[in-house]
Amino acid sequence: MSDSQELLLQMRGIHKRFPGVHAIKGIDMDLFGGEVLALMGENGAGKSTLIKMLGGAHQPTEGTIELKGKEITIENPQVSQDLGIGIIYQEFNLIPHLTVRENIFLGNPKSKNGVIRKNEEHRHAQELFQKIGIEIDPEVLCCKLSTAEQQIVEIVKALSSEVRLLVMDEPSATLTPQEVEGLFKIIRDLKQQGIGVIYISHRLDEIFDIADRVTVLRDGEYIGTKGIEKISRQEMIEMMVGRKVENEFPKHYQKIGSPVLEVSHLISDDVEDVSFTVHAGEVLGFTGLVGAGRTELMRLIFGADKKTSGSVQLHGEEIHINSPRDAIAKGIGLLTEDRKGQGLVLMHSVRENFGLPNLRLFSKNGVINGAEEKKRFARHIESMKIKIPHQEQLAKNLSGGNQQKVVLAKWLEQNCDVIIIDEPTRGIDVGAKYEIYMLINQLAEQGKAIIMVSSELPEVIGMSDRIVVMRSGKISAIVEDVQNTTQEILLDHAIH
Amino acid sequence: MVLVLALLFAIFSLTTLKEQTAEGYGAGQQLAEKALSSGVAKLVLVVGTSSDDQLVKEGLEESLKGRGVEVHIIETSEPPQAKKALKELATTIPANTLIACSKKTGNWTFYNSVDHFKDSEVLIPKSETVSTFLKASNLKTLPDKTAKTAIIAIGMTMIIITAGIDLSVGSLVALATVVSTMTLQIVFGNSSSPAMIGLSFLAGISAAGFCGFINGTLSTFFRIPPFIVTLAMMLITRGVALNLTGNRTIKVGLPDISWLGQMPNPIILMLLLYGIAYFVMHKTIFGRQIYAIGGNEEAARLSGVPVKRVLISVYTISGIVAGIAGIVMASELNSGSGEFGQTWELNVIAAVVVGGTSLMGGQGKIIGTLIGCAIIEVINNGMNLMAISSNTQQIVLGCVILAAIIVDKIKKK
Repeated sequence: MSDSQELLLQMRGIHKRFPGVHAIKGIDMDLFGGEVLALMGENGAGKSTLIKMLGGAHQPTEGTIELKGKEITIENPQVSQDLGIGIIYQEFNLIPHLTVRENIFLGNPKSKNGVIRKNEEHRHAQELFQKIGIEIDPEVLCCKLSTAEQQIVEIVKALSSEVRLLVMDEPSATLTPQEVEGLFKIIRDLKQQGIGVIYISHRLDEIFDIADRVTVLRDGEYIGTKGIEKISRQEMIEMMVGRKVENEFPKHYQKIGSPVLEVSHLISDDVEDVSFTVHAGEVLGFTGLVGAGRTELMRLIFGADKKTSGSVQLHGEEIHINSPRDAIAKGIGLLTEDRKGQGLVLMHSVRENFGLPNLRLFSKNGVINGAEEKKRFARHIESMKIKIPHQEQLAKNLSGGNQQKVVLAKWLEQNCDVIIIDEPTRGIDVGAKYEIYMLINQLAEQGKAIIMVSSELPEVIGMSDRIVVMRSGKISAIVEDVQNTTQEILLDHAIH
Repeated sequence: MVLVLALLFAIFSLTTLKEQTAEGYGAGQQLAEKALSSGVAKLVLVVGTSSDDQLVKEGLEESLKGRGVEVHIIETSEPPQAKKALKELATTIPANTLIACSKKTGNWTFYNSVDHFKDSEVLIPKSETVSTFLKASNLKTLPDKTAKTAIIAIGMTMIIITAGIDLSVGSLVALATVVSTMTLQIVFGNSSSPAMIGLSFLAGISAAGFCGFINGTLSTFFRIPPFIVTLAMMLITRGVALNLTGNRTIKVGLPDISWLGQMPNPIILMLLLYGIAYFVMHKTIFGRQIYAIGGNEEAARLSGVPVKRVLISVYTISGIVAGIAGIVMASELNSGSGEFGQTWELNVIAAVVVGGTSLMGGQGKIIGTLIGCAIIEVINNGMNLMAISSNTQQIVLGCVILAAIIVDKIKKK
């Protein structure tokens, strides 16, 4: 950055060795006051480990950290906080049944003789919210807030103590485009105040929007740092994955067949009168803001929630689905947006996860044929290139991309005609994203009807044959001409 | 865990080491044990007339009572007379029958000079150090006491793997004893026909199984936490059992019903049930679904697992196995009572947890539970032999449970 800005943080030759793993191999990183530095890299590149060193959760094995020219050791999270380092982790650390104010001051309450000074806290919280121009009642319970509002509370919590350096680990993962815009406004304000921000995200568009410089890591190694205006999207991806990437979204050979799933006038608490059709060989994209009812609609079709009225036809015949069990029996598969919470039993092996919906296919009188299960799973491991040491590997130890492939294998074994994929690449790094896109295209080419729900507009545009935009529980537009649509057009449908 | 069990065996074997006397009652027991371990059907005991030798005789007779060993006793302090008696016996018993002596008569040397007993083994009591814990007579009682808890623990393991709990099992044991004994007395008029007894037992098991079914239904359909539902069921069924009997113990007094409770039948039943449970948990769809529900209920539901049906089945099974433990108890004690099985649920949960099943659900092994039951029983038994008071035993048991969990946590890290 320009010389006028003060060097806030300087990390030199940082190494971190865990027993048996050399996680960080000599990383240099600088952060200036009033800039946004994007920290990029695939999962496992070492971003989180690096951040945890700033947060005091880990200590570097080698190397020095200087804050404003003074060498520091961050022994624990308290020290980190005292030094003015604020960290917003990917998973929120808010306690749902405490108020916003109580959460903000949880770590360092304003108190006198052990008694909390509520009014003082309230005033301070309001000041903070004003400072970033957002209105949230400090006395409301955190569980009543939307994801975006919770994100803001996390930021305010970090700002409640004197923060000079703010780290945000994938703050936008659960936000809609509109909410991301709000977040960026806050970040720009923070920049104005001279705060240095380290920003981690998998969404390249955001990086180009908000970051001043980009530092890329790969496999624990430092790859390089570049000013944002000096790097292209393509170059950035190549730095991250370490090889040439032809195309972010693979093109698929379109051969759209007859209607497979026809939904008419579906109504529930969250969905108002929705009708659409998806054809064999088609990737139907669904987008909209969070809370527009996309996920709810999919759960309705899959029988996970109860519908009020409406009908679903499969291959021209009306079907009645009262539970996921019915949907699976009819050949509908759902890959949930919350892969860890709803898609996988994390503590069990990938083989068991794969087997769960398919047990009937390889058992006799309720007794499982274990050898057959392994054989069938092995086929998917091979065809999808799932990277696991063995089938007994626990699901929780897999990367996001491999987890998604295991979930996909569950439904492929069922030979589903309709596959609903909710946020197919959430939390998945760039290299693996491409593989997931390839798989989706392959499935479409096999004549399956694919419904793909996504908040990432480039992904929706790049992958879909048609795009359905939802807004407050209703379909606001169905875009047929995907070639000539833009993010702005889709956003317009989603917001107004 | 098996290691822990082995360690406990070693500890108790060492701490219960005792000098076994070569004289008196203890010598007689020692002789009896040796005779039994060599598997003879007949033996000749030669003792003197001193009071000490009388005790040897008593010790041997007591220990061999009902064990199917024919004992011929020669009681004299004069060697010639003893030799004469031995020669007389030669006409009635087979050649080379085992000869057991006291310390005193063991000094006599003529035994093998009698032709008929030329190759007889002569047993003489020796002073030796023996572990009372490792004695066959003690080890045999171990599985006997474990059987009932272990049977209940099968259902508990399944429930805890689904991330649930069942506090009602102790009361269901009582209910099963009461229902089966009362059915036999009142409905079948104390009939001793095996069919009637079988039906009464079935009634007891069904009653407990039905309560388990209610547990499962209430907790799934009304989404009441199983802790609350089964706590209520624990109170209700205990009260019902006590009311049915009017706080009395129902004495059946029929020897025919005690067949099931006699060694080694409870053990065989236990092993059989564990075999079935192992198969169900690891080889069947149902077992896989139990693990999946405990691991992530929503993911299981979205994968097409009929969550409610599986949960109801699991609670019903827990009721049924508690009922089975109940009838084993009724058979063993020849009676039924609303007081039976108090606080058993806690012992069972302790055994399951010590056996490595996670209270958070999704993880656990049925065989682990069996070992957990064994560990707890070994500790109880060992402490009894070491004459540790029951108060202290509770403290030790509590510590063992904590230690088991801590070891488990450390291992997982």
